[in-house]
Amino acid sequence: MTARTLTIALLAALAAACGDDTATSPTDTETAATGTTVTYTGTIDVGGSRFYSFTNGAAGSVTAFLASVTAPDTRLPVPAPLEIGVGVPAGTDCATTTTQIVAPSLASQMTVSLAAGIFCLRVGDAGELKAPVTFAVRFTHP
Amino acid sequence: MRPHALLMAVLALAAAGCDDASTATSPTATSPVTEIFSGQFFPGGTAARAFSAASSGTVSITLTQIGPPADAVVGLGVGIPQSTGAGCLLTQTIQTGAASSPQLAVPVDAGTYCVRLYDTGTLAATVAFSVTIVRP
Repeated sequence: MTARTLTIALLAALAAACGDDTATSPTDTETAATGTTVTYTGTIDVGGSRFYSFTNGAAGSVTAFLASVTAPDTRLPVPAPLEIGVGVPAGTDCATTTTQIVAPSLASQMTVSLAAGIFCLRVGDAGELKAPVTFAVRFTHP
Repeated sequence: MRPHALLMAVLALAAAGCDDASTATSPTATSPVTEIFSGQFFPGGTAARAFSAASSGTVSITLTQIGPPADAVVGLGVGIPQSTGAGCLLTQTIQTGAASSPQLAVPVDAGTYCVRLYDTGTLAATVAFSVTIVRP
């Protein structure tokens, strides 16, 4: 392997490792007359975030709530709020236009009016995580 | 049949018809709905059940029975079901024994939720439980 090839390979590896933001798939979706309800789950490291891209079939409101923040090993709630936000995908990140720091709830915490198009929902450490956590966000979009 | 008897029969039929009409138009209460979740679990174990809320409102959860022993304390939580159908992603928990009033009361949107009981490390033997869920 030449020095140039090695350099490119190293840069590619570093670029992949640098981003805490990771676009991932939800674990559950339901479609009804009121819209599509998505349960987005994943794990966030300290200082990290993840996002999920979705398509609004029509203009309308997106509602979301942070349903669960738990320790991966015990699966019991962790008293740490997370930041949830809605925005547009931008490269390997989600450029949020609306964000909110919230504690877990089972009722809507964020309602955002959006046009038809491609958007993203981002979940991230609000600065209070001491260890990785597992999260679940439930949101509904048109 | 004499005219008097015929008149009585007609009146009886008319009265019966009025009762039927009254029953058919009575409103039926659909919310809140109460359901019972009961069973047993082992030391170190857990038990979970999913339920639906037809509309937004408050879900009240009461651990009405646990044991033996009657003073057993376990973890009681509410959350959303895992997509695999196994387990419950917890939002809020409490360590509690049996009570007659709700230990958890949480506002919810319409949707599917779950209740989960778990051993907090204190159970020495299998316990039976009964949980009352009142939901919109």
